[in-house]
Amino acid sequence: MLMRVILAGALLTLPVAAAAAPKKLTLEQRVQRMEDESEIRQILVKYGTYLDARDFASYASLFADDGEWVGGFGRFKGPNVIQAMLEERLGKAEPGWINKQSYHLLSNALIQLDGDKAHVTSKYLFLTKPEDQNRPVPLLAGRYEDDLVRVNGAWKIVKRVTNGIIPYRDGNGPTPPPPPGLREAFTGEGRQQ
Amino acid sequence: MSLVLRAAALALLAAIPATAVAQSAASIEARLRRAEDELAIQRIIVDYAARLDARDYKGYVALFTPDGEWSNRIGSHKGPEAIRKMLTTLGPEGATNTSNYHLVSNPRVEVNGDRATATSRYLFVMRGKDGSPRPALAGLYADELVRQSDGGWKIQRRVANDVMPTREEWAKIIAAERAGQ
Repeated sequence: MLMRVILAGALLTLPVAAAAAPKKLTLEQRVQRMEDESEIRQILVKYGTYLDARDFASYASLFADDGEWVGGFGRFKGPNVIQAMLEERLGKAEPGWINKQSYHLLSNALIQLDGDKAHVTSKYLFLTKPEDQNRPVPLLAGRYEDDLVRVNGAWKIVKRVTNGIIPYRDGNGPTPPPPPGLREAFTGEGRQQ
Repeated sequence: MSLVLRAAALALLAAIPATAVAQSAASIEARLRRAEDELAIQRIIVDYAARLDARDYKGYVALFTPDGEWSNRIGSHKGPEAIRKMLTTLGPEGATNTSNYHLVSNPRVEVNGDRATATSRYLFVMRGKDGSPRPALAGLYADELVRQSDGGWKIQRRVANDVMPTREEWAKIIAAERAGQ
């Protein structure tokens, strides 16, 4: 109680203290918010790392048990289903496989926390090395829209919708066929490594 | 020891740690607030791109103070109405944007009490002639921000400095594209 009075006193001496944080949060709650935001940023980055490594088991583990994947291949629910779908569509990486022809540049994360839930938007630029050029060339530009939830103390993706901007594809709209050469761009199949 | 002395000694012992705790709590609060301020300003830098790309002009204008100014080498737009008018050259408010976006990165934030300066970079990506994304414009933002009475931050001044191509070259490119449409 004494601690609480002292903390309240400290807050009073800094009238604009509540500033960046919503009002009436304790110091600990404010630290928790910083930690939550930091953990969610890590998830966004891990997603790109696992995807580029075609490590779809680790990738799928970022989703909650009822987590939903909505993107260019359709709608899929649950880590096992998501993992199987991506291994089928993009191929399982051989042991020791190193990606030398594509990567996801992730940026513009905006994280809105609401207790044990969070809504997050971010952007991606998917770059590949075309067979006839020795340089990164942007292939897809888009926007992720995510809902996350805290499960047993860890943040998990409940829903990720991938929206194409260039080429344009409404993530919640009907699923058009994926752009030609997408699998090859990921896997490097059919080209000399 | 008399009762009075003992009580005085106890009071003294109690007073020292309490003061130390209070000072430490105040300093922790200040450090936390600094980290929160930095994060809040980084969020504004990203939110700016989100509102712009979504053609959310109302939300974009609300990121600026009432005397807020947006400028680049060839012009300045000051106040909500002028900034909003500048945006309408991008098309109608709320229109679905299917052709370009801004990636923002490299934020540097310096907070000084209730004022802050920030720099960041943008890469504006457009749909190329072959339908794939093409980096079209790369540049730097330099911002001055002010803490508001509700605790949030707003942009008082944003200067956009195009690097590649230059603003003059970019103006010619846009004019040529519009003429060709």
